[in-house]
Amino acid sequence: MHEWSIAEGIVTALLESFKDQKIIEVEVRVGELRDLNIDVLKEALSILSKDSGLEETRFNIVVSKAFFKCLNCGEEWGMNKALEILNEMLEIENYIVEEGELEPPVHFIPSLIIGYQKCPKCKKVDIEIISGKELEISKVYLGDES
Amino acid sequence: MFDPRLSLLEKKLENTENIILFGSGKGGVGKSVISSAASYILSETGYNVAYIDLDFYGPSSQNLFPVGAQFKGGRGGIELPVSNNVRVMSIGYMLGDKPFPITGKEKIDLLIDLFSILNFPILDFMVIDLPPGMGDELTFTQRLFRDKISMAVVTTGSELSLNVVSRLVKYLRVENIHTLGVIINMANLFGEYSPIQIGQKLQLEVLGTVSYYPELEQFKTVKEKIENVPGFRKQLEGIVDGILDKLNL
Repeated sequence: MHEWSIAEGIVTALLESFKDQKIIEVEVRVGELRDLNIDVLKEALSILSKDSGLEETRFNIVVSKAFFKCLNCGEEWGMNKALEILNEMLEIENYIVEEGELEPPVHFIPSLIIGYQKCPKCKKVDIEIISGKELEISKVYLGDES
Repeated sequence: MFDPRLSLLEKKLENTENIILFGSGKGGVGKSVISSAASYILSETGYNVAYIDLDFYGPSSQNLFPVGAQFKGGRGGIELPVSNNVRVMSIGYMLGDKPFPITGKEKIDLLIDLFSILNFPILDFMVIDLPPGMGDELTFTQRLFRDKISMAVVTTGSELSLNVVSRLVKYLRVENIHTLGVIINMANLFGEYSPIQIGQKLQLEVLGTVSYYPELEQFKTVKEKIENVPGFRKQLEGIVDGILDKLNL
């Protein structure tokens, strides 16, 4: 549910950066690793936009795929494999309780996945996140000044 | 194009009055024990305190401030759990003893995620335990929260330590970071310079000295250390008084 917090950040950033300008459409790029509930994010954006000047702004959420690379042997893997490795390594006390559900900490802090991965091929832990952590307002389409 | 997390950061800390960074430049001088003990004593004095461990490679607050429960998340992000009346956060709680070889850009991203996802209550003090060096944990934090930050420098009296720490002090001066003074740890082990001489060498006010107490090692948590080693408690109380004086509190 911290989608609400992220939505607040998006709305605040837009209002600060485009004061007195009409924003037609916004593209928000979200990495798969953040495991955000897109419907909740959209709902939060819609509610937080009310009476802010962004009521008519269209929010387009684009999810980018997660990829990882082993810096030792060059092996690359995607989200499904990463989740498999994460679940093997994650201990019960490391989960975060969110509305009665257990969420892995990477849901809140994606960079932590580095501590929960090892190369599926050579088993080394020196790995890089190629993509999947993004959280950015990637495009903004402006209309006439309001 | 824009990172919406950055818009959250200022808001997140708008209810925090003071941020005190405990840093050294040098490793192994006792920053974690001193900063956690200062947090404990500030809280005992009646202040609302959060202790944030930014030592990503060697987090220790899971030992100093055990929380004994899973973290909770919600609309506003992750709630900071309470240990001995101090709100605490460290990635050590979420990683246990797993290696965490985070580098470069990833580290800044982690800092942004961490500060933008935490749900900070009203705080009189946020105490930040910095890792050794002058890395992103120091430079990024001071850029971000500059108006609220004060720095407490921790050193031992060893020549090696003082040489490294003096570089940090130069950085603080050049960057115009409000510096409270220097805390001299393990003061009874290194006799080459007196506290006054160390203060003169670093051109900093001495906030206090802390002796080396071998018995501190027997106790894992900060509460046990403070409650069982009266000399340690007394010296830390003096240091906290000094910090409060410097902040006119």
